[in-house]
Amino acid sequence: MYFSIDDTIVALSSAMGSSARGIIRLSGPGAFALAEQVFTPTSNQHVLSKKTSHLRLRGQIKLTAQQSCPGQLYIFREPNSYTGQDLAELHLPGSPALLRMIIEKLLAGGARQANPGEFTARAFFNGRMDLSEAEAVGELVTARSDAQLRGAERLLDGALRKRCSAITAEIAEILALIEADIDFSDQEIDLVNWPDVKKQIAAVGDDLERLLKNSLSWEQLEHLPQVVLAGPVNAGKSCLANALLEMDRSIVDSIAGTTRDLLSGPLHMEHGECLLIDTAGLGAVIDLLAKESQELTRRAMINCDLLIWVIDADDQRSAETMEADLELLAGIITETQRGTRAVISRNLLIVANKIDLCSAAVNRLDQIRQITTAKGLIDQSKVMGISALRGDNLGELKQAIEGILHGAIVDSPGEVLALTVRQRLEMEGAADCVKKALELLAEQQSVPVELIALELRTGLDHLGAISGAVVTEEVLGKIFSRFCVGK
Amino acid sequence: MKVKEFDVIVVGGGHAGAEAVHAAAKLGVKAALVTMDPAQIAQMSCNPAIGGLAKGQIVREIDALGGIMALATDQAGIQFRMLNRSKGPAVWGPRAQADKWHYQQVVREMLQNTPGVTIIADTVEELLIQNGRAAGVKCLSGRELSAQTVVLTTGTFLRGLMHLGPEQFPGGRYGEAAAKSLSDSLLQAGITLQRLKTGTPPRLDAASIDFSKLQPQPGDEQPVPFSFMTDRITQLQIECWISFTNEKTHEIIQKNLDRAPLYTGQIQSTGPRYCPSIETKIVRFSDKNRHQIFLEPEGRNSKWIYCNGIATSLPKDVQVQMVHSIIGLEQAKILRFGYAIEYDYAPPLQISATLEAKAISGVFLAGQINGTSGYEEAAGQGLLAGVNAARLVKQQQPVTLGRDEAYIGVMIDDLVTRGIEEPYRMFTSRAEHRLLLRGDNADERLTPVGRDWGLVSDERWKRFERKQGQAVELREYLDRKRVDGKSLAQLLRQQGRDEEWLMGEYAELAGRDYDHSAVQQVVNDIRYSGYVEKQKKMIERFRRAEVMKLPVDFDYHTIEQLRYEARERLNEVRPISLGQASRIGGINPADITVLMIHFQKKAGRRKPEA
Repeated sequence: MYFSIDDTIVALSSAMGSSARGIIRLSGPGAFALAEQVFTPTSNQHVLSKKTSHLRLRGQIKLTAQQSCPGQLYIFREPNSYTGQDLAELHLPGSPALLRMIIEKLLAGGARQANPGEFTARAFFNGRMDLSEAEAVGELVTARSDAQLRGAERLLDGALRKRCSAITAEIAEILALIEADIDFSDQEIDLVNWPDVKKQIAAVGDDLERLLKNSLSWEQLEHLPQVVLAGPVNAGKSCLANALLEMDRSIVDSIAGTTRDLLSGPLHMEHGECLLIDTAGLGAVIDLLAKESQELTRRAMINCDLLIWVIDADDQRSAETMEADLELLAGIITETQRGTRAVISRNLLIVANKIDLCSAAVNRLDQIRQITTAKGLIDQSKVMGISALRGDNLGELKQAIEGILHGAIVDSPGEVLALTVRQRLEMEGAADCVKKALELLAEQQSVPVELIALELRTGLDHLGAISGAVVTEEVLGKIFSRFCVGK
Repeated sequence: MKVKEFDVIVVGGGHAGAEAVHAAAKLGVKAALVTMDPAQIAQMSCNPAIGGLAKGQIVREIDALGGIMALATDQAGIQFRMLNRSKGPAVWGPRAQADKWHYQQVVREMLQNTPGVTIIADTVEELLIQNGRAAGVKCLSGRELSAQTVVLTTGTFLRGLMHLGPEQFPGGRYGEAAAKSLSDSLLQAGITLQRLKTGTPPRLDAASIDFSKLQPQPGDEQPVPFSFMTDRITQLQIECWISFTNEKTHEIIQKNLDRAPLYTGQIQSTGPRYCPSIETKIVRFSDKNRHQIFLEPEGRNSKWIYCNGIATSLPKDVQVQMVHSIIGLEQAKILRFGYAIEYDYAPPLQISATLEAKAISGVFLAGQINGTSGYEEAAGQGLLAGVNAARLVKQQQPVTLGRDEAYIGVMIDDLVTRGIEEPYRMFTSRAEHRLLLRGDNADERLTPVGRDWGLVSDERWKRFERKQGQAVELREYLDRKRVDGKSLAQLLRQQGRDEEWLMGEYAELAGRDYDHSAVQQVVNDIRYSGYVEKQKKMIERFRRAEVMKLPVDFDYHTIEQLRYEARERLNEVRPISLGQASRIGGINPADITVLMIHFQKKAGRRKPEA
């Protein structure tokens, strides 16, 4: 929970994942000073101290002591900014690695990671919106965080939650032992066996370290072979991505054009990992935002290692619409660049989705294969019928992906998790607490139990941000079920 | 018929009632304590001891605020022990055995000597309400007592029902009548009541116990007083005794479970998990072949021995067999059999953090009626309820204690935010700021608060200022004085060093004759420095949310942007601050933002108070 509106918050304001341009936003009293830590203007070193309400500066974003990249800094001085506070925007190339590095620098410099809707909330508190807008803000915050919550819940169903919950349970068990030792020491309960506790804590620490080591940050995902799911609007790409990734990263909705930004996740196959990227659907452009996201899709299609073109094979759709869907692909290939056509067709799969809605799937597939051949796209063996919803042929699709990418896939020791900046920070925080608890246990004369308990509890709080909070009642419950306490 | 005019009427003379009436009178209002039997004021219905882990901190807090429990314990204590002394000072728990009759006498005299306190012997039958506000009480004798505020501290008396084997008899305590009609009156007033259960063990005749077979447990060689006003404990200390149940005892209980009210369905309500009856212990932990028993004298020269560890509601003949199976108790004569008691309580989501009932203005609830257990928990609430009742009379804003200020604050916040499922007892693990909420610094935390409320006497305040002056001086010295390039404060931080080491090594300090409590406070602050600073920073971050008040009479269904579940939860709890709202289960950060936006808007969008 956050309550303050007078510290400095930072957030990526463009979508996570590959995109053309990354924007990092800072709001609060320390916004300019923090921005200055990572940005050197080309023209005048001291320009930030000038009292202009708006300013755009070109310059260099400092990456390391030696390296930098070109970028821009927009500054909006209080009260003439979106949030009504000093606001800085760093515009830089949209590489996730870069963005993450800069955000981490800013966090280390004292900024706090913003919560969903927090920039908007600040705008309201500082009187940058009128009353009618304010009504909408509440809804916006709710809607956004609901979506985020849904996303989070789905994420929680996945491997990350399982792993975090297991570690959380282990820590809670140890904490229960220690709290019993503190709160019921006047009673005849089994004394804590400290060498055992030490082993348990060390084991938890190892688990956390392993998890952190085996997980990929978004910049590492960039080095995986990229598989792009693209296709006409509402072909079921997100549904397919979810089915393949076995977790719902993007919000699936039957409203056309739900996926506006690129969403991606590591796809685990028999021999390694690749990065599966879900894209916004292509087709008639409705608004500016849609136009931008379609541009992103096109770019992703050109740069990927494998393109999977997804179309809707539902019986209710005519042969003409099928043809139009495939013509769309052919058109993009022709229009993008003459030279890339060969590349795309070599690494192209056409997937006819929703065959669960076909009365005669074989005939439908034949029809699609004919059109594909007629347009000279690819040979027939690369057209597959699947149902993302029902799970038909997903295993075959995975094998096909692996077959095409073989040699390029990155070998990994086991299941790999992708962590957001926040998740990684929380997990590192937890690992740090466990380490400190171990150090405290090593103290010679007497074990500072209350400090060890504090470290473990803080560790639980960190993990709680990922897999749900552990409340004191649960720890007490463990004590009561385990020890016969009470006089 | 109007007999007398009061400002505050306290119903019930237990530990909550005593603190409540004392605090109210100290604030200068006319306060009456209505109790069935004034001879039973501050009765220790269960074990004859005050304090313990986490509870000891509460007693220190009551004292720091200007309450009476610690002072009475220092006078009536017959054995003092500091629990957890081998652990860090944050989790030390002062505990004392008390002479229960002496304790009652001390408290009764304190109340009688407090100007503004009137003690009335009667049974309250009805809560009088006018226009939705408290108006007084009606008693069994027929008299009506009018008052602007009523503090209900009914303990186990509301429709109290005792169980002793198959026998059931109404009563509030052994040999005392139950309050039968008051429950109906509360229900009518819109207060929901539910049932809880607690139990007590048999009392034995000291003359019939073979103490030569028992292991004695002495008090501390240097007893530490509870009150910041007490220089030292000078009275002679007595011993307690330890024995154990054995397999024979367990066999007797096992064989008679079909006659145990807890297992026959005779008792339905929930008892405390941390204070199970002996039959529950044996059923739930069948692998344990013995359970510890503390034999605690109920007075200095008393034949009554309290059998801590074998609370039970088994039939009398089973209790006799059970007791006789225990080493040292083979011939023991039972003076009073153990029994269980079921009573009404008002689920605490019905009160706000000021302890005022949401349904009726001017009615305050404290102690077991809020679902807590323990003298100390009750007394802490009683004090705050008395203060807020008096403040309401004086048309002053109500006060609360924060989770970062006091264990009392943690307890009340838990009660009014999360509700309870079993009798609530304090544990140090409930306090997230455990390192700050120590017994040694309770006065530093709370005496200025008590002074501000008007509870702290000039004498106490002078003493406090002297101690704090010494603490500041000592801290300065420890930071300044350097040995081998390190300050004394840094040296103190090393393992195994404490005030004894300090005073032993640096004779010049011993010569300054500092209060022991001042030294302890400084040394403990240093010992926890780093952690303490971190916790203080965290508290600072969250303080804004505590300061941002929410209206308690607000219908959250009117905020459409809130999720339905959030509206329901908020309407149920009706938090008094944004901070409390954030601690309600099922409320997420987005809900909090929506609340901030809504109430900022209403407040004309001024910047939130810092």
